[in-house]
Amino acid sequence: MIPFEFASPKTLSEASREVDHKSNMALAGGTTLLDLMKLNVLTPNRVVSIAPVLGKEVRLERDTLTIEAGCTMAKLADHEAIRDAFPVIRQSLITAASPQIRNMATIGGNLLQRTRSTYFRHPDMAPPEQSFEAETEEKFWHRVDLSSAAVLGNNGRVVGTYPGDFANTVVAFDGTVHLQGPDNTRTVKARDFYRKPSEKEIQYSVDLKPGELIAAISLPVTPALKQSLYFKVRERSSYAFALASVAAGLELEGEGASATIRHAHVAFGGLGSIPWYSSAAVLALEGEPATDENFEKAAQTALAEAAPPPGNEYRVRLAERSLVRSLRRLRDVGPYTDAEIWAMQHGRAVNQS
Amino acid sequence: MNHHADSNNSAGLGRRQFLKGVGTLAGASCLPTNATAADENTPQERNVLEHPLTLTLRINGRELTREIDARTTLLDLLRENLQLTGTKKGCDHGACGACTVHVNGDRVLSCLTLAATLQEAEITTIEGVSQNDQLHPLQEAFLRCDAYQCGYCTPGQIMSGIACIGEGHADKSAEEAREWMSGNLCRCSAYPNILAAVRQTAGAEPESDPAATVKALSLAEASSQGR
Ligand SMILES: Cc1cc2nc3c(=O)[nH]c(=O)nc-3n(C[C@H](O)[C@H](O)[C@H](O)COP(=O)(O)OP(=O)(O)OC[C@H]3O[C@@H](n4cnc5c(N)ncnc54)[C@H](O)[C@@H]3O)c2cc1C
Ligand code: FES
Ligand code: FES
Repeated sequence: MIPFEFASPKTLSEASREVDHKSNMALAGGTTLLDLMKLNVLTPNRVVSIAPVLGKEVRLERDTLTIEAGCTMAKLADHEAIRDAFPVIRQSLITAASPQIRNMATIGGNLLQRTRSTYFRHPDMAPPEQSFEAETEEKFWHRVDLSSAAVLGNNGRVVGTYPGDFANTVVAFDGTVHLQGPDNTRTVKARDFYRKPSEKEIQYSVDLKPGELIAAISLPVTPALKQSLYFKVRERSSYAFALASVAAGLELEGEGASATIRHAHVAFGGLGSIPWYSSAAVLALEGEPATDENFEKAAQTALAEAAPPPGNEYRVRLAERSLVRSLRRLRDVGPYTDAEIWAMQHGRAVNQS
Repeated sequence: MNHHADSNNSAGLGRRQFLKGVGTLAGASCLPTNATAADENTPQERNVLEHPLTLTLRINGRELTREIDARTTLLDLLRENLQLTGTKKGCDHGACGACTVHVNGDRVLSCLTLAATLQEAEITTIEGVSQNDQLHPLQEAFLRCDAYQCGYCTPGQIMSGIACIGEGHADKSAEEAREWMSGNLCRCSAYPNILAAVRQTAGAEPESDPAATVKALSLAEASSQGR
């Protein structure tokens, strides 16, 4: 880690005046920032401690849920307004990272975590302007670990996956990001906040100007947010990033396969260069009967534009099947309980000790 | 005479200092010949404390004030500055849980916590969980259950386990306890016994040594049972 100055501003607007996201970076929980500073991937001259000045509250008004950016992943997952009412929120948090990390990590920082590809986390990764050609060359593909390279939104290139879980819920359920600048505030739809890597970038960027901080996020409270789940597949049962994951919600009219899908919410995690809202899946589902065939058709449509790097073709099938399974589960049984999630992850029957 | 102190000292140097010295000498070979190791060290050390921060916090009930470099993590503060070496450095990147401590009652990773953010905080480390000579019940359970092999992950497992019990995740299903202990990796794979120790302390299982029910079969016995 290179030496840096440490600043402790007294208010959020004072903090935003100090931060430019390059040489002056915001420190919230530190679980991404410190990690990348130790690798000399991020090298700020000044670290601005914002956790003490961020709001930490969760508020449930009639049709809006507001989460202030300083709330930790652990506090949000356990919040009484969330715990039983909005399964997809709780599940995208508790299947992420570890209890210790969730006690540290803030919701604001969580949205801005960087790709976990070991290649793009390497300090010797040349600046994009220099290394760029290489990434479209097939020879290059065989020299790099592509297991966390994006399968969707990669424009035919090798770019890092957006690794987080909670952001998939936020884009699936049409969340809004509330930004605090030095003198003004601004809101952006989460679906517009994330930007796919441009030709000169190796991972996503965000619509966040120098001096702006995430102050809160909000989600509309819909019936589908209650009939929701987060399904995550990974290489080991816990404490790992997704190979593919699904944030889904359904509002049905009627029962079983003869029901009509009034509203559907679908996003994929672990696959895209950004948290992947699937408008294709939503279009294929809404207004249609909730049949297995329609679920499968929606899954295929959703993944039609996938361009998996070599060796990652299986993640396309994994994502399709994860979506079908999630939708069938929501239709036939409803959201997963905590106990079912633990049992599913650890491969054992629910009540077996 | 203190035999321990003696064996730790090599020509009057502590092991830590001795190792540091070795590092400096190795580094010195690529310095200009007229620069000594001491010359090289001094400006670096000054640079480190150019803008020292004054930090006051409580560790295991004791109030401490220290001048620190902004880069100091809580893990390094504990191990390097305070010689509280019970907390272990595994990956140093948040991926193993070896460095787990409690900050204001919550379990966190000390390797990803900047000490500078802990003004007035209350820290508990593995050195602070026992009362005088009385081990913490989870420490007792680790002994009873033989919940360690090399022991490297053990302090982090115990700090995490104490919190896991306090959070109410250890006295229900075994899956739940497994999940909420999953931030602590054990390269020796002592998990079954760690899980037993945590669940026994939470009251979810009777106190016993899990090995007591293990029967080692001879090859003949095993094949006669079709295993
Ligand atoms: C071993 C390991 C496993 C993990 N597994 C998972 C997983 O399975 N799923 C998952 O989703 N995540 C996982 N994570 C990532 C973790 O969730 C994130 O690191 C964490 O949420 C980031 O939050 P933070 O508060 O610590 O952010 P910080 O590290 O403090 O900040 C992250 C970035 O956001 C900026 N920032 C922080 N807050 C704000 C703000 N309010 N406004 C503007 N900028 C801000 C910082 O400058 C920095 O660039 C894992 C992390 C580790 C280390
Ligand atoms: S040393 Fe902190 S998690 Fe590994
Ligand atoms: S006992 Fe060796 S790492 Fe756990």
